[in-house]
Amino acid sequence: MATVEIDNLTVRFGEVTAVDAFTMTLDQGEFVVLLGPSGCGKTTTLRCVAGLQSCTSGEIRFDGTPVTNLVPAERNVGMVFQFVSLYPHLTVRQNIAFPLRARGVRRAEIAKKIDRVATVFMIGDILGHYVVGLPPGARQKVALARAVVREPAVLLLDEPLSGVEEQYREEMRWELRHFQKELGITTVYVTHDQREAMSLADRVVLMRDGKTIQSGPPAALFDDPADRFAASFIGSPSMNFLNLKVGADGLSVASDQTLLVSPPQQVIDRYRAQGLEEVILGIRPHAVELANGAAVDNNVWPAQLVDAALVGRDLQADFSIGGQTIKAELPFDADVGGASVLRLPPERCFFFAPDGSRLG
Amino acid sequence: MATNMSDAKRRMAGPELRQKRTPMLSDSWLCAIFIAPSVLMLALMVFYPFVMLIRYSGLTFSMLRPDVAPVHVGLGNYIDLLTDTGVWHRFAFTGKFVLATLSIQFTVGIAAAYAFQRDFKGRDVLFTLALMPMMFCPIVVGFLWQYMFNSEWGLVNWLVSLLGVAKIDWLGQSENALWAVAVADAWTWTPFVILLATAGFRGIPKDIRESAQVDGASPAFTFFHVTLPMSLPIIVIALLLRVIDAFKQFDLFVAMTGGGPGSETETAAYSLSKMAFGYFHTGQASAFAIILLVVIFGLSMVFVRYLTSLSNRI
Amino acid sequence: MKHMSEAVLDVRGLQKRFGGKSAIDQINLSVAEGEVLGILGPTGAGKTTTLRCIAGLHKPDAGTIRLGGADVTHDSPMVRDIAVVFEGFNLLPTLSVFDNIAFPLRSPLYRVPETEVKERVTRAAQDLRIGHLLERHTDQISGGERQRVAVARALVRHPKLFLLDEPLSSLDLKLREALENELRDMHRRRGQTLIYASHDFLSTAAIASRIAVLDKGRLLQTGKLSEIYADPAHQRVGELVGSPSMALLEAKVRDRMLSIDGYSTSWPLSALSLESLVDGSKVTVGFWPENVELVTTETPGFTPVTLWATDFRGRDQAVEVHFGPNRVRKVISIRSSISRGAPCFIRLDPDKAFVFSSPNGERLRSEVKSGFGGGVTK
Repeated sequence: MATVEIDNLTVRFGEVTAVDAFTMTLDQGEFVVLLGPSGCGKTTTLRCVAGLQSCTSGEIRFDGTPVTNLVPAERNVGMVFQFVSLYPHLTVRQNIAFPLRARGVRRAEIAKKIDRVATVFMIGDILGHYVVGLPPGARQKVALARAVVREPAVLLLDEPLSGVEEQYREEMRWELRHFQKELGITTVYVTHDQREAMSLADRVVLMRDGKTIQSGPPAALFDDPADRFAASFIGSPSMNFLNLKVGADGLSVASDQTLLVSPPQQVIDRYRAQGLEEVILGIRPHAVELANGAAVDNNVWPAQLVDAALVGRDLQADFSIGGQTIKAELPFDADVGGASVLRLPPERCFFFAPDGSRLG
Repeated sequence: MATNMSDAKRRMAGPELRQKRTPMLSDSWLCAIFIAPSVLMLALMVFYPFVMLIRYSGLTFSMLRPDVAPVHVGLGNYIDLLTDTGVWHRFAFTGKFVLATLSIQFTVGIAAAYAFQRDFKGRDVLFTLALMPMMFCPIVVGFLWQYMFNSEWGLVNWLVSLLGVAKIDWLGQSENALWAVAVADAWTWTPFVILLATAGFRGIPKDIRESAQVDGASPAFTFFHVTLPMSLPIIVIALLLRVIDAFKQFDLFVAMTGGGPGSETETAAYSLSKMAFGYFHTGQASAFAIILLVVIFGLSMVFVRYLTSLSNRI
Repeated sequence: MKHMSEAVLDVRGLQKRFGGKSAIDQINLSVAEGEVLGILGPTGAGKTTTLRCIAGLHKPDAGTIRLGGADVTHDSPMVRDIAVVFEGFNLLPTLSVFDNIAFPLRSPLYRVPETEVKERVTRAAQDLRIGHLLERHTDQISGGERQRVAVARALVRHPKLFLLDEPLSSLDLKLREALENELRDMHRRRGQTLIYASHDFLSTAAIASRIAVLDKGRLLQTGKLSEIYADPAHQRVGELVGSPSMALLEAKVRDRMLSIDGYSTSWPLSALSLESLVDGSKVTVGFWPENVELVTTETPGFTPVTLWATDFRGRDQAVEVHFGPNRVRKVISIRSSISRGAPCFIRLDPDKAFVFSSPNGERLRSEVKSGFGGGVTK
């Protein structure tokens, strides 16, 4: 268990920069998730920490000691690969024992350590089984047990749930979160699934094209996205975006010039000073309110219902505002008709410039 | 929504069907039609001769003398053969030969495959060269090695003499001849083992290799505890094929020892061919063939059972 | 069954065996025109087998399939007016997108002139917003676009019935959302009758108007989501429906009282109208998570539980609490700051309890009192 420092890590493959000056420090016991679309550099970064990928420049330190020049075998990391990679010719017990035997640990010591991890991961009853035919989820637990049995400095997970059938993934997530906290092991987890990231992380690092877009606790990315990419990537159903025109008295829907939102005059003036003619408004579906019959203020707008469906205990309704679609997540008993009035609370709206950057 | 539907429905009606309904063509019929030609071929070229073989094994007769009526001896041929010590010597020799040649093939083969895993300069050229011996015709290989093992001027004895050892009579004594022919056989077929072992090693997923690295295993530990065990299915297949072939080894003995001295270096196959096409004791030869078949079949079953139990795990 | 006369599909007693083992048994389904039926079940439940029987790709061992009033049980797939989209889409790799979509129309079974083919294909492609891809080859388009090509190909014939077999499971979340919207949209505009099979509850609930719950080859329950919530027929239904799904708690009957292991309050059997339960028997009690009350301060009537893990879901969070051998997962508002190790307390309402027999999971419904006075039915 250690603190992990990644200092200005850069990885280039010929012309392509996969990771660009990536810097991050993990506290002991912290669960950090590297999140991003494929090709963003998250897996490459993880492999650099493991030692399976060489860095073009930058340094990696465990507890202050540089490990950049050490081969994986010498770094004392535990890793779970995307498709789990258990040794098929060995039993579960032998799989878990492998890293200890490879390092020449004594038999008695090995047996003790195996019993300990078997208890934590609750796999005591399958120790004698071969890997093939294990139920889904059990493989992941065995892989985890093998990765942590050596008490490594850091635990690295490369989309370990992607090979798991969807119906078991949620179950696995709960268990993973529990185990990590119980073991207190510093963990780096790579995924493209923002749901997984939100669910598991103490801290999320959102990456794109090798760079860090935003880093912080899941709530920070959800409630305070750094830019439009972060806002649209995080959250499901996705954030709604409306194209608005900056007018003299307020912001109007680009395709239909009636007033929608009127932030304080200074804000409008600021946008115009910046030379912005258009801004993008972002609001999450569950923040959209139905305001039929409510007092009209400047934050309501008549909308046309396009479609509504009951999903679980929510009513997901699509509305059209001046031709642009907005999705709302309303209580299941909400009364939606053809013509409705929606309220977009200003405190829950985000504004972005056309280039994607976040506006104050 | 309901009011718009009928209009939309009329506009969007599907195209009209032309044909009447047809019953589904049974899958089993289709299967039967497709495999019929192969089954026919097999029946003609394998089943029929095999049935005839069994029939012949119960008779005493000679193909050279069709005018002499065959005599029914029931299991007489079998009993004669199984109580003949000469026949047992032949089987023992064959067994020893198989062990000798396989041990050379597999130690050298696997070691070579291990060495070829790493990329080095000229690896591809060397690998291709190493595979060449397989392409030679067995009888040519036999004569080649016969010259090499010649006790007077052969290359092997010359090399041996460099080490200060006296000349060895390779082909004249059955113990030496066993190893000489084993070397020739191994020379031809080790490339096969290299090929299959390489295929096995390459088949190991990159993830597993990396897993072993991260787990702290040295390359040697990884080879013995991961690479080799995981390649076991394909190595066992190679073993099975080599065992069957080694049992049948004939050409090399013809070229190198002629079965001699006497009949000491006759393998079971060699013996059989002498019986069938030398002396033309057709009935007896048929029985011998069946015995040989049962032996090879039994051996193969052992391997196949092991393979099946392996493949349940890996 | 008020739509009987309008039913597009009517399946009765469908059964299929593979090598001696029964894959599906006693399947009864009916789909009315313009309806979307969701078939929900875990992998291996028999959803694909059922769909393939309906499509004609498997010959059923028993049962009848009526399509549009006519018996098609023994008809080959070609002549049934059904379109299917399978997992993996099965696009023809050697043809362009246009030709892929046009393929069913060019079959010799129909006499469609080429001009009409062009018109239909273009319209279907535009409906699915892939009109600009018609000349491309199937390996030049993205996963989501392939999905839409497969759907367009299925729809171009305007089939009576459209079957979708887990079409979205291989896609990532964003793509899946987009396509769920399109399917809903398509259904709404064309009134297409749809059967959608999936193991994912949220996916199915997003599209279907009625849901059939399938498990181990048997149909457990069919009905609208609200009906299933009100009256689940089987423990498995509780496990498969809802997100999070039903909390299932081990309980015992002792001294004519039902006590849930680890929970401090016991309830008299009379309160649940289940007097026929025998002392010493074990049952499973199910609660929809929404009906479990959870607080963070000690309150009379609430049982203390251990917080096992939390799950940040964006606009809310889910927590898992353990007590005795039992556990409950529940969604709570984001505003309650709750962290691992914090004290938690729950209260369960017997009126909201569903009791299932253990271990077979059959729902034990409260007994209607015979004779005068009526009974209590839940």
